[in-house]
Amino acid sequence: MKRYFIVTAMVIGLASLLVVGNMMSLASAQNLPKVKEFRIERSMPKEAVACIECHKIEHPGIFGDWAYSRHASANVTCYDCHKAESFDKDVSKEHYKQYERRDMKYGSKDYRVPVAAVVTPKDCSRCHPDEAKQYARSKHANTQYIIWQIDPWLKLGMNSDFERDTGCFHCHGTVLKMTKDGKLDPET
Amino acid sequence: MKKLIKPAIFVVLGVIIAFPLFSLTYYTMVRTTTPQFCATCHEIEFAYNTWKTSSHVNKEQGFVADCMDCHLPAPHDTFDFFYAKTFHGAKDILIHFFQKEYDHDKARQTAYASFRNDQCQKCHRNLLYIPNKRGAMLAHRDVVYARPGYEKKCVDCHRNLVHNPRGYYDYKQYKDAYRGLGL
Repeated sequence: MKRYFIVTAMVIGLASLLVVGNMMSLASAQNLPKVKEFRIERSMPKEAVACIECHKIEHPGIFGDWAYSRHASANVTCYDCHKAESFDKDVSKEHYKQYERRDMKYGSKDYRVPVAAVVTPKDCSRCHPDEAKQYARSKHANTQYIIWQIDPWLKLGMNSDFERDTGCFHCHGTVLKMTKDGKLDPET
Repeated sequence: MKKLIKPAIFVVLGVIIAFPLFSLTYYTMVRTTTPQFCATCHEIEFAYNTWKTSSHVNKEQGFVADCMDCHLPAPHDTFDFFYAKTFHGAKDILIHFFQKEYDHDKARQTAYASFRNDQCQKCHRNLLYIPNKRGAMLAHRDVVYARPGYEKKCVDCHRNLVHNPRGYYDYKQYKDAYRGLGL
């Protein structure tokens, strides 16, 4: 009985020593601010990690825009908006080549996913269905169609191709086309 | 003892040959049962895109009905499932090469004609007690316990649910309460 008592006392003594030691080291830790850097400490698909890590180097501007955005703080990644089906017409063929790069850790087919540069209202509606629905009914979503219906100047074709390209389609040319080599047509 | 050696060798050989064969077949079935696989055919892209935005995919509970869940016999009818799937695959390839144009409306009507009630009822099983919709409850009773000569199909009243083009993801939880079209 006495032996058990001694053992228990020793265990308790050791444990309390540890606790006190811990508290002391906590108290002595300096209040140093963390170096400001971008760390991925959240759950996201590995494909999204690849987007972020590669674009961080290739396009620091695009990356910075995103990193300071509400979407970034809500853990919405590049891939959530830019994801596409492999058969979608607007999939970037050029981007596939990035996954063949051997100079990057993320240039590997493990991360290969189809992406599209243009994010359409339909893509937004994965998370914002009400907004997309309301927008789809609005004049802004259908400007191109409306102005060509009611504006006689445009309807009767009284303007030149040059005017259309620069004046209307520059903002309202919402019908996108792909060139033969799988890039977005800069004219559209 | 010696008598047993020969059959034992045959059994072991049989297992060695059959196991990879069966697993290959099984793996092929699994791989070719995904909606993404269906959409590898150009003709099915429309169906895939419209399915992706429909309420059979986008609902609060996260429950998703895949192509095969509606369009083929239940996988637990293994024999039916296997053969129906193979038949459809072979037929689709033939049509892809020999038919000039894919007629969506015609395909739609063929699909409606081919739906059997138990395909829908694999998932939609709790149909008979709907406290807030007396009419639906009675209508379902008419279908589930159909009198001879008055048999009806689920798709007679419930159609145009999935493959409609939409500009946005049509989440079920944001839609108005569902009401069947009726007869």
